[in-house]
Amino acid sequence: MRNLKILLAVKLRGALYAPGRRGKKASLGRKILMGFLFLYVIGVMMALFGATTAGLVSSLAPLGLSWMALAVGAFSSAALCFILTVFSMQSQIFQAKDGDLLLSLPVTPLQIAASRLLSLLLLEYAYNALVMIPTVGVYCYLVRPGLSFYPMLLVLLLALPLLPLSLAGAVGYLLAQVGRLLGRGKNIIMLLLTAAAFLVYLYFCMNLNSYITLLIQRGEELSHVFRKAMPPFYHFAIALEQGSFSSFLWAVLWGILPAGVLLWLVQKGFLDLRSTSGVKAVYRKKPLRVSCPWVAVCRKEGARLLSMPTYLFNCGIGALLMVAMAVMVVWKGTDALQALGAVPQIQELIAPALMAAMCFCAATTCTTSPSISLEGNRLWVLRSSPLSPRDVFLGKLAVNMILLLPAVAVSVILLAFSKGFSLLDLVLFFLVPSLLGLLIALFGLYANLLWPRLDYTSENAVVKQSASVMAASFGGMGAMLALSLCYWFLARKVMSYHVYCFCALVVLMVGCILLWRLILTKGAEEYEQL
Amino acid sequence: MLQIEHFTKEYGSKVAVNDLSLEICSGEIFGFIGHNGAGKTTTIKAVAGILPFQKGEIRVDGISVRENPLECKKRLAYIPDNPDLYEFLTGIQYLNFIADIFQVPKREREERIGKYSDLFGLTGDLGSTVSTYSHGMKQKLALIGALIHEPKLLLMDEPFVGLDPKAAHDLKMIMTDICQKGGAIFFSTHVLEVAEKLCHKVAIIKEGKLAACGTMEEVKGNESLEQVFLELVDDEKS
Repeated sequence: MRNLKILLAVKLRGALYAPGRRGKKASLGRKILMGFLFLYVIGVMMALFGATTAGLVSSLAPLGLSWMALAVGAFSSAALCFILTVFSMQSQIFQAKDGDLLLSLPVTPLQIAASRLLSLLLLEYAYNALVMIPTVGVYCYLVRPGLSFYPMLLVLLLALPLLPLSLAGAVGYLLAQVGRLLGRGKNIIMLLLTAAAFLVYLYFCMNLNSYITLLIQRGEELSHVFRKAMPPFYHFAIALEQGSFSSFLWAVLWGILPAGVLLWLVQKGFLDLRSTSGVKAVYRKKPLRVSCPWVAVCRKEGARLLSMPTYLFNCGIGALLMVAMAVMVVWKGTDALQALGAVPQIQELIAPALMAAMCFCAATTCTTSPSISLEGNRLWVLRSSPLSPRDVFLGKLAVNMILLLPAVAVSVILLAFSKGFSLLDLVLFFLVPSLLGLLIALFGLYANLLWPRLDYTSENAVVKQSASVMAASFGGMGAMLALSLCYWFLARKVMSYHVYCFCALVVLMVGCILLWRLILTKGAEEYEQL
Repeated sequence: MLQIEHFTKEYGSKVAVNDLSLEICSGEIFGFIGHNGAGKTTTIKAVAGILPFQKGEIRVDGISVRENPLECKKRLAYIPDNPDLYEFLTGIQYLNFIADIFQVPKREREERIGKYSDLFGLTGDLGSTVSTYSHGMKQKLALIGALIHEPKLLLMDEPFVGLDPKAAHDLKMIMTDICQKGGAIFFSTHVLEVAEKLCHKVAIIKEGKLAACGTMEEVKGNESLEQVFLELVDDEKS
């Protein structure tokens, strides 16, 4: 027990350790800014889940099915926990860098596994709170349950994240085993799986309103489906609404039993995955490709991007979204666009709306914002080589544009098939998002030079949580919003959409040139000091 | 080949290296010895152009590291004590990346990669990602990467750590070969027997200051290098 406490304390200290620049503590201003952004995201998510619960309870309560609001909340919480934990399983447990060190200490694999799972479980409780606090709060306000509701709720909330943790662990174990067998091919498998999961998630989000409508319209029928297909969430909700002790026991068992299996699997995997070797690729000599220095950096960065699914999907998500959106417009939207085009007032808004959507996607494609931090303790390779900072920056920017430009081009080609847009529209659809994407890539690079995080323990933390990534994400959305609002409230009255786009192009171009100059001067100085 | 003049490096209020001056000529193997935290790595990193410094001057082949770092870096190669390499690249991708940066022509790079990877027994592993390499294999890969552009000055921080006996022997041969061709080697080590046998010149650094410097004979006299080093450390303690 003492060892477990020590291991857990070390793990949590590592998770909370977030050094600022060059190991210094973060400034108060930065802490306030990060705290504000954090609170904003939490507020938006809580409002979303609260509103969904309110809608469900008010519609389903007259049918005697208000428990379904709790079941939907529990399911949403579990889904969120699963999605956010499944990738951490790889880095925290099955491919943990400190695995060998820990196994050499007088602690059992069971204690190591338990400490790792407990730290992930604590994280899941935080995700769980995001969904369940507004869900339960709104439910209690509208339904006014009895006093027995609350002790049961406490136990069930503690048990609820155990199931998604177990599922994430099982998938993580499977991926680790597959990865061991496939060698280098594992990254492609991970990429495909992540892309598939993302598209399923996108499809689910796009149809969320119709699911809720369906749930309200056919509540009675769907309650049976819920009972059969998702028993853990059904029992969770029934235990709370009806005070059923058997459902309470079932709901708790649905959490505890899989968690026990996972604990066994992890402590076994901690030894097994380290004691067996994977597939070895035998090298056969072949002609080598020669590149200039900045292209070499670009190729190296490309290899890094493709080797880290979390990097690609956190920082390159916009490119994928853009193509998916263009496919949707061509596949499902051609008729709708033609129908909307018949109304003159709406017709003139179609191109600006689509432009705003494409700009949003371009603004969320920023691979440069963690690219300096990701050099980590390998920075010596670049710093001891005859590489000018310009070549390093150019290589990192090129990867961003190689990811973005084909996505923009494919989207424009697809939009050309929808027949609703002129040639000028299509040219602008290509130029404006591309230039905005370049501006955000430059901004992300500069932000990372200002706020590098080189002494990280997990690359995923850099990609997901570092200050420069957040600055680039919010900066990108801010730039997109500024362009859209400026058109809607100011420019629309004095100039046409096309003229505004040309003005925006000039502004973006000037912004890019200024930022590039800043990067080559101040940014290069920061780079030399790293 | 390498001149270090009055080099001083401070980290905040702590002086890591204080007024260090050294000269390494072509054809010399120069050993740099000192206890942990004495300032060896700081000095080597500053020569490699990784650490900026405010006081003193460092010249590689007559070129100032501070004023023209890229020209200096073209002439040297640096191998750190713990070679953290790009784990997502395969061995051959890493070597080709380094060859691209140093703009080594296609034929030369293929020839040198073949020669050194065969010598270190790494050819069969070049298709695997660096993440699967052992410490020794990473060390060998970093060495091949350093030799790919035939540097005039080879900077090495604890180069023998992690190498198997054959690889260590091969490295010594390579070091001798580089010096015979007019190059120079500046390396730090804790293995005093190796330094004694291999080096033409040696410097002992103690708490950032030069404690002794000269040819091996000048520094050790009739004693062993180990005795001289221990005496210097004991002086400090007493």
